[in-house]
Amino acid sequence: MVRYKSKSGKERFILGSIYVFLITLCAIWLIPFIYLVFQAFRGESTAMVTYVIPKEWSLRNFEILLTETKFLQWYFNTLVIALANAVLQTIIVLCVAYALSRMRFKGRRFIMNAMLVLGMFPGFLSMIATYFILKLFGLTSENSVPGLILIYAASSGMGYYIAKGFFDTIPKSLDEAARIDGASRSRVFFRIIMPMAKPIIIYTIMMAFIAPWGDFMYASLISFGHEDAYNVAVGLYKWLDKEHINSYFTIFCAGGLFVSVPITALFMSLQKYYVEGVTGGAVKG
Amino acid sequence: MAEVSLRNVRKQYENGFVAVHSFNLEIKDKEFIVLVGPSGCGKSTTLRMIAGLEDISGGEIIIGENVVNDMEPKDRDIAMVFQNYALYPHMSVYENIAFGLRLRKVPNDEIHEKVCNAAEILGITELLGRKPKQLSGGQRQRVAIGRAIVRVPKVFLMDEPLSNLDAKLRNQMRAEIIMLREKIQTTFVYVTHDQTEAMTLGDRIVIMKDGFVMQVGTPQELFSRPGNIFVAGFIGTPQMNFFDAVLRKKGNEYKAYIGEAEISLPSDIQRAVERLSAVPEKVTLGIRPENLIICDDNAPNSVRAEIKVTEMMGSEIHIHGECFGSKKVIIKVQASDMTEEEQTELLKRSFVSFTLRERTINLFDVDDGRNLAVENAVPVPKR
Repeated sequence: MVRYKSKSGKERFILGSIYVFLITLCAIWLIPFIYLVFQAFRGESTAMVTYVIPKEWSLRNFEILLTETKFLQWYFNTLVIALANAVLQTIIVLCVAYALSRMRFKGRRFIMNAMLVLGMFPGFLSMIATYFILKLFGLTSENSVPGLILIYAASSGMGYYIAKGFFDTIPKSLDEAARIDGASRSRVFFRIIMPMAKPIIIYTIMMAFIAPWGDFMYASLISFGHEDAYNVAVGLYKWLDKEHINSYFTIFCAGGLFVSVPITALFMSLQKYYVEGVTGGAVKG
Repeated sequence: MAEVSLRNVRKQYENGFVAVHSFNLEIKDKEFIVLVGPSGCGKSTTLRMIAGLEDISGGEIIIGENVVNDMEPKDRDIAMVFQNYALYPHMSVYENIAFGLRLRKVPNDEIHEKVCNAAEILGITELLGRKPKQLSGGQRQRVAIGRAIVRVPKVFLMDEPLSNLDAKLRNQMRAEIIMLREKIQTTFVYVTHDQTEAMTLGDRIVIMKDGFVMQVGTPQELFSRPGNIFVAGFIGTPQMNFFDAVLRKKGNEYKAYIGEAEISLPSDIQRAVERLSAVPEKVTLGIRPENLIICDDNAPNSVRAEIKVTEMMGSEIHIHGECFGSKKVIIKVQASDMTEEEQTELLKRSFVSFTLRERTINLFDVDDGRNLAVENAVPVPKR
């Protein structure tokens, strides 16, 4: 049997303080969420009130949300955009990252650096220009779902960095062996590299799903004034206007709960890979 | 099975560095060629150009009847074994070996037969179901070889395949490669930095330095008549000894002198020296450590050396010393030829005299290092 040396009083104190600090932090983080849950189930009124725990519990807010508002339409819009982007962005990011990791061509360094620098500017700097370009194509207001998919997917190649770091850790001689065995570049990518890159694929899918799911700025600009084309973030936010807030506040909270469900589920189920993907890429950047 | 020709093959990288200068070699069908040299000499680059993994900057490479310069690796009908094995980690051993056949759309039962056959040759039948992660280094290397032989390629390329193995396993695998070669009868190009591997495996050896070919020849040729000082020093352990010597005519014949010691030249060197338009006075005389013979101190034409270090290797004794004309001379003595007392006595000595086995000497040009007796010898490149 192994006997561990018991910790001294001082060590116990330090460890205890750290735990107290972390638990407090968790509690503070959780307060808004708990508040949201309570408000979502509050039955007595839809207005904003000064207390937290509801006097009457009810599911009425959800009922209103799903039957009397356009929430389902928004939810559907967001889901379509997020899923489409998850597919498109994952394909684009992995292809770009693989090419930058494996192929040597003129301007490769320049492209990598340029993308990195461009990525540091916030996206909304180009918002006005993007809006007008999309408008020319007729992809704003009522058509903003395909418009938004286009925007998100178009810039996705710039997020190559982590995936490239991951590919760099896979020995080049594997590609070479496969090419000599008779595989074309694309076959090497799909048959040899992809099966080994599961963590980074999952990481990329998650990132590609989450970003449009919670996007507000672009979505509100592109879908401006056209209620049917809102995504959840924009739609819900409209209920916080001065004229809406007292009739919609608890319904807003119920909607918030629905929004958090897919993201939470995604994270919970893929957490293991997520960590592997981030750190796997980080070892050799 | 095919001949391979490399004609003026050249490799220059984008930054201007020339990795291989004008490489010329005709490889015969079923020949085993070893490319050997210190790291950075361009041997791997040359192999990778044959494989199609590196672009060729100049010249042409011909496999069989085809110029393959612009051909994809998969169309060249070659197989390659990598130093780090490069097994596909997510596939079983069976699938690793079968991968190339699957890509070539070989029917399943034929694949099965070929994979089992290759596995049997290499003795890895019981490993077919495992993943590469579950194998030892030697087993992985066998699988890598299996993956290469299963397709019966025209040319078999090996890039330092034994470097990642420990010494004992390396010896064992070396012997197996020799046996393998008997079984699969194809053209081999093998890259190594280990001169023992080069000597034991190669029908012919290509020695390279700084992107230049130093000499091409059979192991025996390279050992006994190295084309220049670099080849002489690279092949053989311990290294060949070099003496500053003087060439003088005595009667009808040229003789070499190390200090007072007079050394007669073997007849082929004698003839080669006579043919020279200008016979140099100063030359570098090279002789292998086993061809220095310990003698009495006052024996005629002997050289006396001060002993610095004596190494008892078990079957042989290496004496490191310093003498006239050479800062570093090594004498290799066969320990089994001496009694134990003689050995002990030798290990204690601080001076030793030796004579040279005259028929084994080589003479090199002092400036460019070329062997005077080898036609078309290549000068040692200067950095």
